[in-house]
Amino acid sequence: MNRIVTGIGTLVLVLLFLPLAVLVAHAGSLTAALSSAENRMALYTTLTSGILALAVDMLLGVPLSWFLSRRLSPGWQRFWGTCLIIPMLMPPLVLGLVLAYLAGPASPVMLTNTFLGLVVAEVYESLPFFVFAAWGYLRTIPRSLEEDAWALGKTPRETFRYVLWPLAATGFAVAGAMAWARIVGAFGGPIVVAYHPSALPVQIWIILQEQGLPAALGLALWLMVAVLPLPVWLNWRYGRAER
Amino acid sequence: MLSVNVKSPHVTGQATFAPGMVALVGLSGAGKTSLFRLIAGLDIGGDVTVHGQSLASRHPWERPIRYVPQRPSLVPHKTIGSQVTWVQRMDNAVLKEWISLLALEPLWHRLPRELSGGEQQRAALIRALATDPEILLLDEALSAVDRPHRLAIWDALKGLWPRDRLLIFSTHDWTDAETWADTITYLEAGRLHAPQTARNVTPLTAQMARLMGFLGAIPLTPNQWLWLHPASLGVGAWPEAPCILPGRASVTALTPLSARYTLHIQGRTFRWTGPPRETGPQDDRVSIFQPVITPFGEENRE
Amino acid sequence: MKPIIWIATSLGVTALLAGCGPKPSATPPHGKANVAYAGSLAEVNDQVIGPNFSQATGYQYLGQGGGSFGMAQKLASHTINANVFESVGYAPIQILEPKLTRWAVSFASSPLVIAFNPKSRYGPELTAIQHGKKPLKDLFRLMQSPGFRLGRTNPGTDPQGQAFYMMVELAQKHFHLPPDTTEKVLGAPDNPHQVYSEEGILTLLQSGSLDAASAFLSEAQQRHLDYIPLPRTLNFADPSENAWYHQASVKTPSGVVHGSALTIDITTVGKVTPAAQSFIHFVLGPRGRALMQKAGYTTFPAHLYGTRSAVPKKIRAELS
Repeated sequence: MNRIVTGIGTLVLVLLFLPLAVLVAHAGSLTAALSSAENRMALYTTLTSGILALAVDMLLGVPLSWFLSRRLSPGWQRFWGTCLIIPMLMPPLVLGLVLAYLAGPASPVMLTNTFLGLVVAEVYESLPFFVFAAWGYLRTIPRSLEEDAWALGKTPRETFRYVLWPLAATGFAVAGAMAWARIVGAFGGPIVVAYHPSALPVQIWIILQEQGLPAALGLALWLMVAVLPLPVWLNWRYGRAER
Repeated sequence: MLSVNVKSPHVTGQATFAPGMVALVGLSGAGKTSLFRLIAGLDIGGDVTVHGQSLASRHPWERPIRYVPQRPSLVPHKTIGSQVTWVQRMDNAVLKEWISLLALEPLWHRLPRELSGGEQQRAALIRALATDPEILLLDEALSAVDRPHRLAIWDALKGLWPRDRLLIFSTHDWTDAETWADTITYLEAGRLHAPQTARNVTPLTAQMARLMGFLGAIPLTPNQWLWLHPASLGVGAWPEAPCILPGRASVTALTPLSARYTLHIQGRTFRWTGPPRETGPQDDRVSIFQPVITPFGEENRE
Repeated sequence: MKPIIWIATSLGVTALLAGCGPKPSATPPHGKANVAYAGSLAEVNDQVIGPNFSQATGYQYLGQGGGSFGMAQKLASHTINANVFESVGYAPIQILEPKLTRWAVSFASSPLVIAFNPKSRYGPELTAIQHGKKPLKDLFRLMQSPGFRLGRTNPGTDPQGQAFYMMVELAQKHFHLPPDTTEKVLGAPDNPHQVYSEEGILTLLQSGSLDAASAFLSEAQQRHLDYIPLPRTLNFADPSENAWYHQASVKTPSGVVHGSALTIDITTVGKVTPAAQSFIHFVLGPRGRALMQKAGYTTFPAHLYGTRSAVPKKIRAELS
């Protein structure tokens, strides 16, 4: 039994890293990919819009996941937990088509083909994943930790800062890493509402059509290189809090 | 000082506690934790007053009450020292004394998961003491502490606990209650009984009597019962206090399944038949009886 | 390279399991026409030509669409599999030459139109131009209005995007508009305020984010959009106007492109299979043409690009 598990585990690990191996093997020159101003711009756009989108995710997702896990009765938690699956299931392209309506005349500012529009599309693609991941983690922090601190005369605010935040931060870091992956990979939404300024996934799509696969894969490799440090850092910094 | 009048699904009753050390005695599941949570404000159901002031509208952190639960309650990702300092209101010198009494210096910079169960309970106790509480609730808070440490801690608490403050500890061990408490209050099946002075406690129910170590009771008159204890015999009637009487008992085997018991007390002799004793013959002590041997009298008070 | 063998093997296994190996079977009616086409041809191919072709010949049909250049790049790098390629314009097919094909036949075109949203701020004027109550010339002034939201596709990746850009240049010439008209209407070829993806542009138009957008007549009809038709001289649909179209040009990242009719060009990819041959034969034949016309396309006598001798026999017969 153990051997079967080890065998399957190893095989799946190899399969998971296969695309990366193919990417490395077939990518054109890395320097060539960055020699074009458009590509550099796309990299810059991805990083700036991505960090902004991640900040928005945190700003909105932290209170929401907190509310869901701490302020709702278990019954409502189950209800909203199920509801949260719906935006997660929405295919990114469909999301993009729907965003076309939200970003259009319905929006107070014109969002299509703007930096802001790109950020909005990225937030819509990633926020449900952030909330879902964070909420799942927060639910595992026992309620009693708060009560024990209250019973020692500590206010909920003090309790949050000293007891809960260090534990929750791990959850938010994991959720943030997950959201980041969605953000930098966001394609369905941006291809509809934010073709410009092109973030990396759209730019890779453009390069594929203009210059072919090796050039596109070279840029894709840059995407990996550029977006990897943040989740790695989050994992390293917050992934070890004692439970 | 502290009055409770509770009515919740898990515990009902009322009691008033004077400053000092109070034992809350009851078997597991009797409602000790529920009562503590109500007093601490973590659950609602009933009224709690301190110095005549109702705490109904006060959050747990606004009450002059500190509570140490039975389960591990330390903050998992902070060192013992850090969390004690976090809540500290007690004078540094006094705290230092407690730290050495509880032998916590070597554990000061450790995380809870690096501590044994008993060490964690000691740490949780000092954390509560460091808040300099007016009222402290200890819910079997030393159950996992080894015996020598436990005795030392109780000794220290008994000696150092301020006369004008209230410490309520829960236990299912009558000896602990009798030894360390000034007042004992009994809780059974969610019913809270009125506190009694520790030195002179009347068993209020059969279960309480058993908990106190009584082996059984014999009806003397319709209203008087003779209580049998390994160390003493008590004569009393509900609800009056019993008087403790010294006596002698003997037992003779009749059949493999029954024995004849003889009790000499105050010049009177009582005889009755019951299941045989299990230990060797020690005719001068009633302590040879097993608690289950002698049936209790009719519990018409229940 | 080991990983590649793995992929090839797994692809092969998948193909076997799915019963759709790229190799045609020995008996012709069981083969499959695997058609890669420009995204704008999705509807007509999958809904009209494909089913009719299968019914008429017994071959199976499988279609997949995307931007013409993107599809060509993917075919060239063997990341997708197809035995027929149908593109907008000849340029994408040149990416496949000479390895995968050495010829192409153009046989139809879809006229360029300007689709618009009648509910937009400029709806009434656009509608007036649509119904001929105002001259077409006015459109090019209207599109210069400061708040006018015009959408077009990327000239770097989409033949339609190139044609639309050059259409405005030709209109400037044709209507004797001021010389800065093109600049004012379009800005740079890759103007970020106007260039959207082929996937999103008509959705944005329908949702109201755009006032007007470039489109093919076929797309406008399929989506029931309001549109302003353009004359032959501007619609890039008539190969006989190629000399005129050629006078316009647009700069793209891969070089300057001169105008020519946006024809629909078809060719085989790789080894010519009977099914592929049969599909092209069907499309070029009278039945295929009739279906194309019904879907909003203009058809004209097949015109050959590339090497005549490379054209499979059965198809060569269709060339005049």
